[in-house]
Amino acid sequence: MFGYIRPFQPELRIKEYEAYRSVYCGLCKELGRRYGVFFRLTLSYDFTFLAILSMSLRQSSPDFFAIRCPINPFKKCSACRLEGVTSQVAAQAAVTLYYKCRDHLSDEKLLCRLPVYGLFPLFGRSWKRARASLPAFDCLMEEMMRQQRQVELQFAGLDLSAEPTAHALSAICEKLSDDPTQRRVLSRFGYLLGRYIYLMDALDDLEKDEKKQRFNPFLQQYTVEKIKNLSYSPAVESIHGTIAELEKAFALLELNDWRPILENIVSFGLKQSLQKALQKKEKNT
Amino acid sequence: MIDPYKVLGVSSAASDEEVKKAYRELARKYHPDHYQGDPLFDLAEEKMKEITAAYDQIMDMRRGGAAAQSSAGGASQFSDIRRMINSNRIAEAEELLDGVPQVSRDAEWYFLKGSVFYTRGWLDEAYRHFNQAVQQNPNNPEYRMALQQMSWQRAHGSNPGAMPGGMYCSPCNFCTSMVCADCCCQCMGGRGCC
Repeated sequence: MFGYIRPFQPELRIKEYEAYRSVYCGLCKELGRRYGVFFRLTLSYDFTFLAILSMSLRQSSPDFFAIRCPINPFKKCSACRLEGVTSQVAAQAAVTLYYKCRDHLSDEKLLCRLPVYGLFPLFGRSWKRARASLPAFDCLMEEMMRQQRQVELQFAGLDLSAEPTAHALSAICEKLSDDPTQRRVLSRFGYLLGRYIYLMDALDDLEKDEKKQRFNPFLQQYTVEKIKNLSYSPAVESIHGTIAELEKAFALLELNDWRPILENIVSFGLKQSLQKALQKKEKNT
Repeated sequence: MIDPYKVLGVSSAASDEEVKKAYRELARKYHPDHYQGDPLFDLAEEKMKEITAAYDQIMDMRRGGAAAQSSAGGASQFSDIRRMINSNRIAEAEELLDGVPQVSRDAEWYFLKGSVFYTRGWLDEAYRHFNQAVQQNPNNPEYRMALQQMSWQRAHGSNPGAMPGGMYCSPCNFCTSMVCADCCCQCMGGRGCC
């Protein structure tokens, strides 16, 4: 996961912003406590979203407490944790990082690989612990990586190449509820969310992938030059279509008090991330 | 078995539009958000379920009727496949569709294949197929609507008719979303999407 799933702050109410921060801080603290300080630095907004989504589907409400942030130790900040959610999402974040590093090793040239090689002896034990605590999730990620490699070898089209990520997220989201109807909605919601993440990442990496001659679903049909001349519309349209469908699935979820924050993310945040990605490209040219 | 028309308070001769309107009004009235903290919350919730079930039942009955009519007229060679998609038997439908030889693939084929992709979340292939269906038969309102909906989504990143990302879950917003989802289900010919 890559940090695309974040709220659009100007539209958040202050109490919502603070609740969001608390979940983030709670996760960060949990990562540090269980896996070490290094992991605190790797926490992305995507997992905060996952934690809030998970909390929003539960009856019980989380415990709020005050912590000191190592970045600003003089100020106390509020954090929250919910039994069964915070620890699980923290473990998922750690496992995902492990697979991201492995992906990096298989993609990059030797020189770029070296710093990541260094991580393995340092964090091997934490990763081992995280993976052992979530065997099903670990399998899911492994399978996703395997399928992704396969799809890339086939030079698959857009939909098929997004499928491994989409399927993985679908499975993750589906597990968040026991209700069969909600599971159906969550499964579709997760699928589209995974698709969104994959397409956003592909759009972000467009230039890099062309330079390094790596697989990118948009480069199967276009060159970077051509897609730029179209002001990235092929990618933007696919991503827009995905967001619109996501909103529809989201409307059918039965969520508790956390709904407004999630709604903010789904209705504004996802589009905002797309805008940011496009602005970044404009700046670089 | 309760009469679904009675639940919605309309006569069985009411038009689809009237049924939809009645449903929308009732859904707004009994939306669980209005009953937060109310001791009658569970009753409102039950009511909402009842209304939705009745609405679904009416729409299913009417859609089934329409499909039967079109197949009686021999309008489509794919009416079986359409029924399969309607009842969410996607894998079977796709298998049958793939078995259709290239020469017999008409606009309906492209529309149904697009619906299969749509249900699966393959939005780009779905868009391509709907486009092809409309190109081959520009007069079919169903194909045109499916394509229009997707074109809108791809252009705006939101759904036609939906308010641009309301912050709070107002009943209006809930209804538009429901109606939107429903329009889509109808025109896509399946309920797998929601």
